[in-house]
Amino acid sequence: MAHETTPHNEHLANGQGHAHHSISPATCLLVFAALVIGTVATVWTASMDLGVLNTPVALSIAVAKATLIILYFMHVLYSKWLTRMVVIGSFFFLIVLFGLTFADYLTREKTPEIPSLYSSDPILKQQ
Amino acid sequence: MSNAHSPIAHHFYTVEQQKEAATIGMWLFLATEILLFGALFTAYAVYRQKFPDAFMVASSRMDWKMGGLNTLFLIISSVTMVFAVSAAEKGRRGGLLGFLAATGFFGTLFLVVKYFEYKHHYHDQDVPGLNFHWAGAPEFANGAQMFFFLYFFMTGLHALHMVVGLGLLIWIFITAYQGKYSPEYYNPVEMFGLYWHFVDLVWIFLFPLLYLLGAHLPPGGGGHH
Repeated sequence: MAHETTPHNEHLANGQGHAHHSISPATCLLVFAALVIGTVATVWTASMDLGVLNTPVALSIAVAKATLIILYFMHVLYSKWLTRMVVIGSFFFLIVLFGLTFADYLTREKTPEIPSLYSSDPILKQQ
Repeated sequence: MSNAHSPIAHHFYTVEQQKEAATIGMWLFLATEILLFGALFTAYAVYRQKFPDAFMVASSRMDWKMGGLNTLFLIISSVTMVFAVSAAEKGRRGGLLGFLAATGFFGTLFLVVKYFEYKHHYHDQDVPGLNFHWAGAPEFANGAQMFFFLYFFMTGLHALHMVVGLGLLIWIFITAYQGKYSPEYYNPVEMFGLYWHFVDLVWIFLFPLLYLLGAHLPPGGGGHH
């Protein structure tokens, strides 16, 4: 191909704005190493009984891995703010989905006069 | 720029503008995907909160080694996809084809492992609605059935995304082979890369939430038959 030696940013038709940075092979392999270490850490921490911390630890590692993928592999680190707003917006609505659902489910037990799935009282238990 | 071979569609002014439009459009699609899987993760969280012990015991029936192996396959295929996009950006057709083939190879390995897992679950009578039979502690039967229902729905939808992804990959591979991409125009390769990384991302959450809940339990502590 004729463009083999063309630097990344020279093909941009408009000179304005920052050049399109692509992830370098070294960065890519570092992220890969981090993702493999994260996977091993997930299995390792899951094999220990951390009590209530089991799930928070597993989810923290998963969120860290997902962040690396979104920022580096999905190029959000190198993208414009308009694209970033779409990414941030989608996760914002995901948090709304979780938040409103659990605002309901986690507070049902505290209002025993309302029939609850979680009530220990067989009369109030709705099932 | 008005000739028939221009990499820029007539409604765009520049290559950069065209690429921005494609990227935002792809992320808007991924936003709907995030919420599609998000709703399933919400359902999972609600039922796990209702049946915490049953989920733990049912999860110990998973083969975490298979899930871990598949996690590695997907991570490797993501890395090869990054290299494929990078090759397309530099106009290296050979590199693009090679890394696309590698991505397809590891994606296919994922589905092969998944097939054997499903087969094993079918054999073990773990499939709700088909042959679910719980031989463990009876108080966990309902929660375990709900766990397996969510397991098959979530991993099934994820596997469907993998199948669609492999189909798209074949299309990208053929068009790349035909020399349709250049450093000026490789948007389909890059947008497919976003889709592929997203599917990897979903699995990164599925793996610990489905396979590893009972990993700290003693062997045989679950509901083995």
